[in-house]
Amino acid sequence: MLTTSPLTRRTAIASGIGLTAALAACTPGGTPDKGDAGSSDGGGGGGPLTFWHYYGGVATAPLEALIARYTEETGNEVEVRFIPFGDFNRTLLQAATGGGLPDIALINAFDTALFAGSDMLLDLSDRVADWGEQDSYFAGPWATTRMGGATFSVPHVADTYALWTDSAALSAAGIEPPTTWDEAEEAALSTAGDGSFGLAFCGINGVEGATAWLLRFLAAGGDITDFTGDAGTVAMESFQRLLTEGGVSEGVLTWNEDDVFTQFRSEAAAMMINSASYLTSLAEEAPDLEVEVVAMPEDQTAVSWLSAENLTITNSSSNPDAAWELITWMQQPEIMNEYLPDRNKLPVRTDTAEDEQWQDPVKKVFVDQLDVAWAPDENVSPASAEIFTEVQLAMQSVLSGSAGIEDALGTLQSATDAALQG
Amino acid sequence: MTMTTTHDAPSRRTARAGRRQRGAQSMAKYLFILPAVLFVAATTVYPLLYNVNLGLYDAPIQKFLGGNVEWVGFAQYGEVLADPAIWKSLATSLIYTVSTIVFMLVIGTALALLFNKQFPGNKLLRALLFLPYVLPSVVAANVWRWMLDGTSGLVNHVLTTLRIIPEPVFWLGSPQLALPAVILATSWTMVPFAMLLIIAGLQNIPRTTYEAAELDGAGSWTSFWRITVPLLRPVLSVVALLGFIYTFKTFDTIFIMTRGGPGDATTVMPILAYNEAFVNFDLGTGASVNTLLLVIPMILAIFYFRSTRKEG
Repeated sequence: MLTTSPLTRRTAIASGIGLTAALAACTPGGTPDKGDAGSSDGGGGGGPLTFWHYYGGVATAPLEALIARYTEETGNEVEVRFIPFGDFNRTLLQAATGGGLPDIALINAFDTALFAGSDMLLDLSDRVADWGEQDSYFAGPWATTRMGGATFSVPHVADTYALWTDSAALSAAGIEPPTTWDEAEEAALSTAGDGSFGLAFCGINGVEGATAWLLRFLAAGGDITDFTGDAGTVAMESFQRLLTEGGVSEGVLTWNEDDVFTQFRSEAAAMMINSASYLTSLAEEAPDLEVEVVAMPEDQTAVSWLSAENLTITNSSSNPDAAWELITWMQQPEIMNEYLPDRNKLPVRTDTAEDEQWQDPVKKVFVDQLDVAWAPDENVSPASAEIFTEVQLAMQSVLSGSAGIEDALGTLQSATDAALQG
Repeated sequence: MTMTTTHDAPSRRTARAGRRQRGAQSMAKYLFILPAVLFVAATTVYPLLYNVNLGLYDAPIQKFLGGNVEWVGFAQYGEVLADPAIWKSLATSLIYTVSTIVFMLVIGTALALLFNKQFPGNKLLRALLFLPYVLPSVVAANVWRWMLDGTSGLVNHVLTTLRIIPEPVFWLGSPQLALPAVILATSWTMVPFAMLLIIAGLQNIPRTTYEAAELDGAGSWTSFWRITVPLLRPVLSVVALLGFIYTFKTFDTIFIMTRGGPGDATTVMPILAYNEAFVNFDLGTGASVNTLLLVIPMILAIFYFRSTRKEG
């Protein structure tokens, strides 16, 4: 005989938690089945394409205008979603786990290998081979699209780092823009004083704050997997001298790239290491400032830094053909040459760079740096964020005096080895 | 013919019907709360348990998205606990939280005592002082970042003008000063919260108690320590407890002001968890740090709910 016993609060709570725990205890991870994209229209591919990016602020409008132009020309609808840079990878990751990935994701070039290795991206090798335009790209940006012999993305825009110099400040010190790191140190010390500093760079905690030191390290002949060699010591000693002798401000450890630009624009720093992103802002905010942009100083070698974004199709896209069509449409040199000036970014294709606008002396410096712009290879790339974070920590510990150079580089090497082992 | 009558059958039937009715009533009660339970289960309990479970797996992003994470059990928690970084971040979190709570209580009480008195402009000033609490934390953190800037910050300008410091200080760039600086910024946003609750507490203390103490010859200082503080203790405890739980999990203010730096000077546990999960993409380690991060606030929350139940 069945008897009904009243449900007690204790049993209800226990059952609820038990059920939820059972659900939560399933093996985590995995990606949803193909066709479960945010743009999913049942797999038929008739709905609008979805396009995610992290271009915020003044960069949003040019990209949206570009996509709107595509829709106007082709009649193909595209839903564009902006996600702030800090949240972008996390959101993409959540979508990859829970479903809802976009058809196209515009990702940081250095993250391509990571996401490709995570089985999130569609292998575009066959499409690229049929398309046949891969040789039109600068080697550096194109290299970031590859992993394990396959192509997982197409470069969108690039940026490089160069040395911006305040002509008046350098003239007052009687010096020319530096071409080597030795000259750069000398120039930084000569132009510092009266509350201003010679050189400004971004050294804030995190990935962004590692770029300047890595540029010095790579110029000294460094290898990103080996920090305990001479190049590491040379770079650390150079930055330590710059700080202790007053060539750079202690503030570098708190400055992001916008702060560095502010220091330079307000003439608190005679030189800055920064990308081409600030060309328009400088022209608008400090029209009277005479600036000469020169290539990054050399040491054992000439090196700049590649900052780039790649267009990818996610492996759950319900309409990869339409996504590929949009991507290839965006690559046309005439389209890019109208779009790039609004973005303050550099072309990723050599044929696009032949346009007259790129012969402008300042822009040409940045474009020429593409030939020597460093990017992590596919083995280092998935661990690059972790390594860069550790690089900034090592630099900070030396500059703040909390660790000696040898100890800091030793710690950095251990962390790098661990990151590369995964 | 003998007829036998039994009273057992109807009484059993009645008892069964009563049980059924009670059961149905009981089920109905639970059905009413089912939507709320499902909501809490889906948005709080499930993510929480999922996080605890994820902490038991070796789950770098590649393995995670490939669905081939490796079960390592509590070994991962062991590894995290063996890493000095977790203990350093726990110490930083505790210094940050306790210092913020102390500032919040001391300044909050002082302001509450001031605004408990009647004076012209009281309400306007009180409303203005409440602004930092309603300001989005992103805005507040950026304001403080600019004010504490070493080269052009307002704080340095004021302190050097008044000759309190001889030269500008890089507050957020110094491993020694960055933590006090973020404590100051967080306290600034938390003081109005404390002030408001303490004012409510002060208004519940009967005026007659002070009048009686005054007749007995007690001065203001004695009244404060012997009447105000003891009678405010329940309110102060709640403010401290809620403030602790809220502050211990702070991420945005510190991330915007210092990103956990310089070095690890302001790397509190939420920043460490974020770095592991979304910078290093080691989701398993990030989840285990997150679980450990929950322990202290959870103990305090249980303590809080127990104490409020006792009061009830």
